[in-house]
Amino acid sequence: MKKPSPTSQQEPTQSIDLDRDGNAAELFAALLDTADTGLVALAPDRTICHWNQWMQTRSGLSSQEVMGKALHDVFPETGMGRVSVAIEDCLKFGMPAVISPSLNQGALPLSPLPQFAASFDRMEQSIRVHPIKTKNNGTLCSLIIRDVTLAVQRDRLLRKQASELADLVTQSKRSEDRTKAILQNTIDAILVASDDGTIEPLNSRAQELCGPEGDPELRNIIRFLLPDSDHIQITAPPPDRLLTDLGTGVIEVLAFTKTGRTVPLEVAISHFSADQRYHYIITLRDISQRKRHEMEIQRTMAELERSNSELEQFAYAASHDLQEPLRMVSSYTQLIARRYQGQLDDTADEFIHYAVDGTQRMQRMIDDLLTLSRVGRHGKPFHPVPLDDLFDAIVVNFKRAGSAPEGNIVREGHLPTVTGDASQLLLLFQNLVSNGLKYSDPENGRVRIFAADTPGSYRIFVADNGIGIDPQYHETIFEIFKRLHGYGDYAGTGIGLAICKKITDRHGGILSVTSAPGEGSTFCVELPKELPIVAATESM
Amino acid sequence: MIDLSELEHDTISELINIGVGRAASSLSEMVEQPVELTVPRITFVERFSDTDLASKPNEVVSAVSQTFDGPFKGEAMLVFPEERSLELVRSLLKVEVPLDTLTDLEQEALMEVGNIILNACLGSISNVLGEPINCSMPSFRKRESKSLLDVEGGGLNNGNKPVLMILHVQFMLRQNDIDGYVLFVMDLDSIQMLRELVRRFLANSLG
Amino acid sequence: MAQQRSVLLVDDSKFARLLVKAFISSNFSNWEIDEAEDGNKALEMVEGKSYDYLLLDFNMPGMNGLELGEQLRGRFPDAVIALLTANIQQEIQKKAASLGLEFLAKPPTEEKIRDFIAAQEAAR
Repeated sequence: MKKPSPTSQQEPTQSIDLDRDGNAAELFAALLDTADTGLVALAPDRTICHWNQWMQTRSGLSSQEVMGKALHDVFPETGMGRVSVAIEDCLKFGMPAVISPSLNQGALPLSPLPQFAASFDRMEQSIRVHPIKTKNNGTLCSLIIRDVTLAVQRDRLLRKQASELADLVTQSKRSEDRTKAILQNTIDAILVASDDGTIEPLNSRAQELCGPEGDPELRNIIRFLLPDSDHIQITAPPPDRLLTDLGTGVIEVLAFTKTGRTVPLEVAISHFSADQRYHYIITLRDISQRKRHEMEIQRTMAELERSNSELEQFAYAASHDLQEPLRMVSSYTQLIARRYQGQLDDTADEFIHYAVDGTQRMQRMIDDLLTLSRVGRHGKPFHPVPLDDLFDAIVVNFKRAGSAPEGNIVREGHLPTVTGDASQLLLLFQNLVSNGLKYSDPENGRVRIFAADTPGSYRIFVADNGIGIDPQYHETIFEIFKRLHGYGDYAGTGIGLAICKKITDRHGGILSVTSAPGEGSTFCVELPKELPIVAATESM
Repeated sequence: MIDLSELEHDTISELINIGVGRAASSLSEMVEQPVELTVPRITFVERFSDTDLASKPNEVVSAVSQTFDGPFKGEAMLVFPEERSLELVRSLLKVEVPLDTLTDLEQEALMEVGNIILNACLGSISNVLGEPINCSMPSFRKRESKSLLDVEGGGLNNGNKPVLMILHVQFMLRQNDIDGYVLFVMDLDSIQMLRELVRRFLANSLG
Repeated sequence: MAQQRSVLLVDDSKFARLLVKAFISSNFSNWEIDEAEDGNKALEMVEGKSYDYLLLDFNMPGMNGLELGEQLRGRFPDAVIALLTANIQQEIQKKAASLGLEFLAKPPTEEKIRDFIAAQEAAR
């Protein structure tokens, strides 16, 4: 320890000789007090013989309190198994020891610094146990205690973050797998195209259609369908590949497979931007099935139209041809009635009356049948028809026929202008009004006409205060020759409402009734504001 | 050259076994799970290349080393292939989130494990033979097994070829068994001294 | 203490057997001491002879000390059977106690062996 340097005489500052400058033990103790680690020395009898400032601060025990005591007396509540064994091995056999924080949490009951107090009950410590040989061949034991709480906290944080990262990776992997699976298993072919002209199939169906085994023309068609791009040369695809006119919103193209099959595809294009570039998502849907269904429907429609018109043709021909002989029967029975009335007996008069009545009824039925067949065959083009004017005409007709007392046809409010065949609409509403009057008390019978508006249609109501209709017949009354009453009670052929129904149908509308016995009936004609395609084309 | 009698060999084995037995007890208590340690065999070799460890020269190993000095001197080390050392520390610490390499704290824990085992072996020999041994603090090293014994700055066996006493140790833990090695690297003089001390002890004890 | 007793030492380490044998003979001069290097050998030996003391190592190839102790306990209900081991784990100590086995920590020293036997003799 006493080692004066030979050059110390020449040095301007003198080196310190501890023996000369004071009590060496005190000086060393003062030095040890400046250390930022805990320093404890134990005598061979296991009692504490040094306890530096750091230990005093962290344990809250002053040097005076612990000197001369054994460590387990200072910290009675701690088992200190490992520490005690290490001290024992050190003093007995001179063995040094490492006491790590991981294997011995808080080996000594020392307080953590305030900033760690929330998450740590004790300071995390890394301890070294050293034997120290003394001059007279004894052994002391020194404990050097480092505060590693910060390191432990960082380690915990690191593990937490590592685990979170691992979770995140697993999660995003799982969601990516899921997205991939969804894409792969989508029936539609999905491709992505960039504005530089590259087209990439995203799933197996897309690979089938546009890959090396697919239709080489398809990529060209897709490029053609995408919005214009300056730097890509595009050649128009063969016209037979485009099934629909561009600009209609629905794009259908035709693909040829290697096996020679043609596949109609519906193309949908959406876009997104990423990496400051435009990308298009192209969805190709195989519409073979739908196309087959469309064809099927078209064929059935044509078939139906043909048989319908045949039927009308027949009805017309039959009723027209029946008219001639009937007129003859009718004329002669009327002649007999006029000429021989009262000249034969009463029974003969009665028979003649029945014959005349029968021929007249038959005449009316044939007339109505002709009318019915004409609804389909002789329809006129549709025009705007102001219903107010139409009902003016109907009222005039009834007045002229004298079949309706003044004021029993009441219009409530303004009626709309609809699109249709004016003469057929006249027939329709005249039939409904007549029907309403027919089944009412002639004196008090009253028919009200009013209209209502829905977003897509006009509803015109014809309501009477007559006998009403039992709900069980509401469906059947529109069928041809359907009569609910005997001939004697109410006049009519049973064709009137069938004609109304047919006219409403032709106008794409719906004819319905609400009624109860004794409470009158309300017929509703609902006509669309915009004509359905079928009705529109038929009317052309 | 290393002409140990069967009894001498057996004595050293027994001393070592007593040591690792004590170490196992300490470890069990510390990690609150049963830890068993056995030394199935002890071999003496003259060249490191004759050891099992040398069969994979490029394998990275973790080693905790303590030098010792006394009537016989040298270096004692606990050696594991790096993966085994990770496994061991994690089993002992019940780590839930393993990282790819030993963290500083895990490395220190491994140092403590090595310290406990090496102290126990050296202490057992020293205690029974009645000869004090001075040990250094443990140090940690991680390197390829072929350069395990390379010592920076000369080394302690300068000139003298070392002799290796190799203990194959097995850690039997709750979930798994982990194999490692304890190496005692001594020069020839030291090993002769060790043999001499064993002979003397046997002579005294058995009268 | 003049009583003559028979002792069986079971340990795979010849050194350990020699050591314990030396400690016993120097304190109890005329006792009869037999040795076995493993459990099977020990079981063979007890077929032909009964013992007052059986000192068993724990870590042995084949049968361990606890397994052997359990079998010997049944055969010699009155004998002193002790597990002699460096492994002083609580779990093993508890098992030993539950089988009625004594427990002696390695390394064996002369005082340890002498005091143990003297205490057992006094209790007889």
